[in-house]
Amino acid sequence: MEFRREDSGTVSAMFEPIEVDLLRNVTSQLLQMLGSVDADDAAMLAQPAIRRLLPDAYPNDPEAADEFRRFTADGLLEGKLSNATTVLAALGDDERADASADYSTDAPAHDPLPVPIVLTEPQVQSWLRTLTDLRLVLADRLQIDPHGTPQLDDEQSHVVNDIYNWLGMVQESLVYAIDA
Amino acid sequence: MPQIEKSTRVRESVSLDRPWVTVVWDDPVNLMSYVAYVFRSYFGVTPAEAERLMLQVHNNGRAIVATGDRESMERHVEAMHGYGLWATLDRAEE
Repeated sequence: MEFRREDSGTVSAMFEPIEVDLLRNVTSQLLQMLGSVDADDAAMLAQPAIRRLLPDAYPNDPEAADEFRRFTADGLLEGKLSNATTVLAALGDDERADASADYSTDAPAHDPLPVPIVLTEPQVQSWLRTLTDLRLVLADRLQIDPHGTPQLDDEQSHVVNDIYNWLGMVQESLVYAIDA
Repeated sequence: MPQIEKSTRVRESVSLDRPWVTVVWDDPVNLMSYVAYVFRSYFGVTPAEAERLMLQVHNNGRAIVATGDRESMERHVEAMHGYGLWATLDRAEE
């Protein structure tokens, strides 16, 4: 997986099918989480992961911070939902795996073909932001400390940490590609 | 010369108000390359300036990335939150 800029202005990369499934999976979970946030529910907004997605704008003035959140939370959440939806759309339907199995003479089940992901400039913007949101949520789950080290060390966290690092690689590759 | 008088009055009222600043804070999640990209693409600064601001965030824990009236700074902070950066606004120090 490495994004490259095409002459047409799009950026593209070949994803392994397992990478597509992974990104689809975590992005769907993010969508669910974002969709469940009620911007008027103070207790929900106090959850650390949500708080990191919608941080205090006024660190020393809780009243002004609440007011700012009241005016911006809905729009920010809408943007994040729309970005994640855009990412999902670019990954194609979940059924693609089944569909490709129909002509399995070309693509044996044990060796699935890489999937081309082609992104326009607006799609890239959505991807960059959603990759950030995903990493912010996973960092909260891993209890990543200020030095960037996960505080959780169980087996499940190692898997999550691998995903977290992989999402960072995807994002960095995208940033370098659009800069090229 | 009413026009001159008008512009003088505007300048006075602006100077009475201490400006606001947009502050971006260091966080362990956002990649340095992404933070520099955000500064470049949103604030339209040169790559060198974006790199300087990013390193300031990284090394000092925070950087002032914009100064102006409160409304503009709120707009910047909201945009930074859209990018997933940890940003706040505050009165400029005297």
